[in-house]
Amino acid sequence: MATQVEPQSSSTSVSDYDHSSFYYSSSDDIFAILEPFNAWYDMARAQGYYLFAQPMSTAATTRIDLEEQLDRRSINLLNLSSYNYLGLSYRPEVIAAAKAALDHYGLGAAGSPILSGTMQVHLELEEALARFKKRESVLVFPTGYSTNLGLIQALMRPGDLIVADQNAHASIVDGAILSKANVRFFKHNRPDDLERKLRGANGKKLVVVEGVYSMDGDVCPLPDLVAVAKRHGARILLDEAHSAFIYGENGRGVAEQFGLEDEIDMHVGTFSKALGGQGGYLAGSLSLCNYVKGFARSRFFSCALSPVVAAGVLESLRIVQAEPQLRRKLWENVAHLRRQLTEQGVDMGESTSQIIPVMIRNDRKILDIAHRLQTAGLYLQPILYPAVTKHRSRFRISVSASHTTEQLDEAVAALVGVLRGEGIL
Amino acid sequence: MSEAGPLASLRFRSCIGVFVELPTEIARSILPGDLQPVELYHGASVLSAMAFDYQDTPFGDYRELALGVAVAPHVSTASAMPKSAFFPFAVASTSPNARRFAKAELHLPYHQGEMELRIDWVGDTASAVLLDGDRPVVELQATEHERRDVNQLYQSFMVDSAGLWTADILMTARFSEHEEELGSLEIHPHSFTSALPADDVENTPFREQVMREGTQSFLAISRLAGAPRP
Repeated sequence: MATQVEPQSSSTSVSDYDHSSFYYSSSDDIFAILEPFNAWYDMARAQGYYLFAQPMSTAATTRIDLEEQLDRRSINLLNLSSYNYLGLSYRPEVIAAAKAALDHYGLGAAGSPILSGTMQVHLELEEALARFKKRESVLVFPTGYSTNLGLIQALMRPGDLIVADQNAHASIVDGAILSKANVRFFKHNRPDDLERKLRGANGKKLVVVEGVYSMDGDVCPLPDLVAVAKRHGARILLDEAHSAFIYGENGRGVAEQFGLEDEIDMHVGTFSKALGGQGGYLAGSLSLCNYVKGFARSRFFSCALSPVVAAGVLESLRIVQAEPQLRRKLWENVAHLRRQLTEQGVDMGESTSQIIPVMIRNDRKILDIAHRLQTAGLYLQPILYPAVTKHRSRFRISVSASHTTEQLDEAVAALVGVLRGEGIL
Repeated sequence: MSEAGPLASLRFRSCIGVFVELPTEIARSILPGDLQPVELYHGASVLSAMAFDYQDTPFGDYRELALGVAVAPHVSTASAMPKSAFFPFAVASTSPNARRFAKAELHLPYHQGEMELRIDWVGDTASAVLLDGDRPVVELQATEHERRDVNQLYQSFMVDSAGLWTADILMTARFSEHEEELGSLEIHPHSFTSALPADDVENTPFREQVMREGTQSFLAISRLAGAPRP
C-alpha cells in the first residue's frame, strides 16, 4: 500500500502540513518521502498553492499578463509583486545594451570566471561599480545567492564564529553552513542580543546583517550594530540586496544613509532588484576581492555571469547615477502608498522601506484572500510559513518608481475592498 | 491500529505545549543512535515540553508533563505521514496507575518520583508548573491563537531495555498554534531535567500549541529494533 496522507477531515488535513513537514524523514529509501509529499501537494495546490509560481507572459512591468493556474486562463493584473524597484529591467536603453552584447559576445560566458569566462564587459562592470561604491574593488558573482554563499565560505573556517540576524537570508545561512563555522543568530535588529551572542567569543568573528530585510521591509539599526561588532573585534558583512541603488543620497545604500560606508568591511548586493537584471557583487578592499576570487567555490566552480546580463546591468548602473529622480519617484510612491494604507487602517508591520508587508496573520485565510485579490485584478504574492513564522502571514508589496499614482490608488481600493470583505479590516 | 481499536485513548481538558531551541549537540546526547534530531537551522534542534490535563480516563483524572526532542519521522509505505515526530525522554505523571500502564504498554520513560503538576488558565494564557514538593522543576506558559478542530497524526519514539519502539498517536482536539513568542519555559535543576543543561535551553518558545477538549489515541506500537545502539 502506498504511503499516504490520510485526510481525517477535509477542512483541516492540508493545512496540518506544510513544506517543513516533509523536510525530514528516516527510511531506507531516499525517495520514500516523494509520494507522501506529492499526495499532500496535489491537495494543497488545489486549495491555494497554485498561486505560487504562476507564469507571467509579459515583462515584469506594473501591469502584467499572468497564466492563472487554477482555471488555466490568461488574466491582466496590476503588479505589486516584482522587485523592479526602479523599473530598469525593461528600460529601452538597458534592453539595447543587452542586445548589443548579445550580438557581440553571444549568449553565455562559456567558462568559469577564473579560467576562460571573464569577458571585457565583466571588468567594465566591476570597475564601474567600484567607482560608484567608492571601494577599491568589486567582484561579480553569477547570482546574489552565490555571492553570500561563496564569500562566507571563502573566509570562514571551522571554529570561527558567525553571528547573523535571525531574519538573515537563506544565502547567508547556507554560506555559514558550508563554511562549517559556528553560527549563532541574534534576535532581529537587537544590538543588545548581538552583544550577548558575541560576549566571550574568541578567535575570528563575522557579523552579518542586511540593509533592508526582505520579508518585513524594515531597516537595520546599523550604527548600533556596527558599534557592537567593532567593540568585539568582529568584521562586518552588510547585505544590501534590497537597499543598494535606492537608499542614500547617491544610491549607495543604507551604509551611505548612515554615513558608515568605511566602517563596513564587506558590501554585498545584487543586480536583480533595483538594477533589474541578475547577478551579485562584493565590494571591498582589493586584497579582500583578490582573496575571495581564489577561494569562493560558488564563483569559480560556476559559469561566469552572462555577458548579455552584465552589459544590461552596466547600463542600469549608468542610469541610476544619471537619473536620481528615479529614486525620488520611488520614495514619493512609497510615501503616497503608505499614507493611503494608513488611512485605511492596514497593518504594515515594522516596515519603513519600499517593501510593504500587508499583515494578515492568518495562515489559513491568506490563500483565499490572495485568490480574491487576483480576481479583483491585483497581483500580490502571499507569504506564509515556513517563509515567515506561523500566523505572521502577509502580502508583500514591492513599490516601483514605475507605478503611477493612479495605479497605487487602484491597488489600495482593490486591496481594502477584499480585506474588508474578509473581515481583516 | 489493531482491529480491536486504539491501544489507549485518553480524553484531556487541555494539552499545553511549548517548543524551544536546544543545541543539536545536546539533542544528540539525549537521542539513541538510530534517531536524527530535526534542526530549525544548523546547530539548533527542538525541545518540546507538553503538559496534559487528562479527564475521565480509565485511571481517572490526572496530569502529565513530557519533555521530548523533535526527530525525523519514520516514513514507510504502510502508514500515513505524521505531522511531526518526537522522542520523549522524561515523563512525569500524577497517577501511579497510569504510569504503570504506560511504562509497560507504551514504553514511555516515566520518572518514578511523586510530583505535582499545576495547570492554571488566565484568559487565553495557560501556565503549567511541575513541582517536587514545593520546588518547581519545569515551568511553562503558552497562549492561544485562533482555534480550529483538528485530527493530527504524530509519531513517538521510545526506548527501553527491550528495544526501540515507535507509536502512532492521533490527536483530536480544538487546536491553536502560533509563533508570536509570548510564552516561556524554565528548566530547574532536578533529576527529571538532568539531561538538559539549563543554560543551553532557550526560555522563549519559538512555537506555542494549545489543544482543548480532545482525545489522545495511541493507534499502534511497533518495535523498530532490538536494544538501541549507544
